[in-house]
Amino acid sequence: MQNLDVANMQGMGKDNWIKFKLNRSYENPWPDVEVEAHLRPLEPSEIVSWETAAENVALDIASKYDNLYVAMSGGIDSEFVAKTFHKLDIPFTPIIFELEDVNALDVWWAFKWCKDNNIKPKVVNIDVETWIKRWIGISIEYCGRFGAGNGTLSYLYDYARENNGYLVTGAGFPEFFPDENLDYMTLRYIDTALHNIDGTKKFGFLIHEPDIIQHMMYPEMPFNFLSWTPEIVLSYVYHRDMNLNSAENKARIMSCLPRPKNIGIGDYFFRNHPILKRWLQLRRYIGTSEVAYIGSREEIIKILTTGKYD
Amino acid sequence: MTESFNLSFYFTANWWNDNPPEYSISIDDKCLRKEVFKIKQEVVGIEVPVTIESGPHQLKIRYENKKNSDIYYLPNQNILRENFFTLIKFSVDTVDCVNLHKKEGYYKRDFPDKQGNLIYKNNGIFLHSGEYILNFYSPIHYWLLSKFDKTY
Repeated sequence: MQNLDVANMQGMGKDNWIKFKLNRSYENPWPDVEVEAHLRPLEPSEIVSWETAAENVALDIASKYDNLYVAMSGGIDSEFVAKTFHKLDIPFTPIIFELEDVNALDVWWAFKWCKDNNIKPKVVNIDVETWIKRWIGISIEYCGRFGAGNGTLSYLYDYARENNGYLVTGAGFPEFFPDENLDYMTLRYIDTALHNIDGTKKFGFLIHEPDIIQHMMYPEMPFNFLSWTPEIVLSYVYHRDMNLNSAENKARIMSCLPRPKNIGIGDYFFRNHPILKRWLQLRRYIGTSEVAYIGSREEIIKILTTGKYD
Repeated sequence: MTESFNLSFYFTANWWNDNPPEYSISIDDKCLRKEVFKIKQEVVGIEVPVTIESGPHQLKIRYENKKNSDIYYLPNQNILRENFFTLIKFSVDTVDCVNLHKKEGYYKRDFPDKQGNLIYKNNGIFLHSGEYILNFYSPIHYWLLSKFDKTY
């Protein structure tokens, strides 16, 4: 991969520092690397506390974008984003997606946070059948193995656009593999970006395909709070306790109550809905990877503390 | 690049004389299977393994043996009954394509009808001597994804 090729890629985050590309397409169904993401910091970063890194992100986003919306799914990531803006008295509107009552148990946490902090959220309520067709349409357009997350967020991005605003989310978070939350990438299929040719697992961080697709769809949005700067990515990677799983780390680092996720739209729903069942069967044949592997803990710390990359 | 997959077809057939419908399944001009229906009005499933190169292809299902004697005409020349078979649905590997064959394919008669038409939009029913044609490309699962919203 030539550096010029990477430099010319679309980017996400402050100064577009994370370069990315979705190579899988109808014209190129079997690329060597389906989803690419490259860390390209402009300068070295210091290792700072997670709180400091997050506050710096919030202040930077607020200095560049006004009329902010924060997508709150009920998960720890988005609650932390909202909490950070709120702590700094940066005005924003929480925006919550309701899928009839299917995800009520998830978004309960989002409504609770809003109520506890006396902030009125904007609620976008979509019926199930419309939602399904929206996100399958995204999967069709981008040749994507994913759909639900992008479909959900697309309604919130659209609302922000229509109201001259900017949506910030808890997406774009660099997750660690292997992790029990990501076991399906070994058990249900073998993600080729996360396994070596001999089938052994790689140990390192990844960015999910839906994060990349949503930024392709809405490039003007500062969506990836949790990877907005090299500093915040470095802080998480450095402070992550490798003896705990990702859920435990997030709850600890972000000081949010741990909670189950996506219990409202579980596998059973996907396996039994007549359209989703067929799409689930089909997507297994589309490509072999759902992530971009960005490097091991040591590699990422080296890149971000030196500002140098190969 | 070559890919391999299984096509599964589900048919029913009906006939009134001793000439049950015979059909063949081809990819492009290569015949993969030839069958004769043996049981009336029951759903019959067959699986056909396929190996093809990347690029455009045609699936063809041909009604091989339709004859004029398979049609029973009334004295006023209206048709009382005739032999036919129906493609209910097809699948690619485990992926049910539902009614995609109706939305995407067409039927090409061997002889024009009274209005001079040779091509029919397909409704899954094989009434006339001729063949059903479905244009697709390999990799077929990508083609299916591109057409997925037509299967609702």
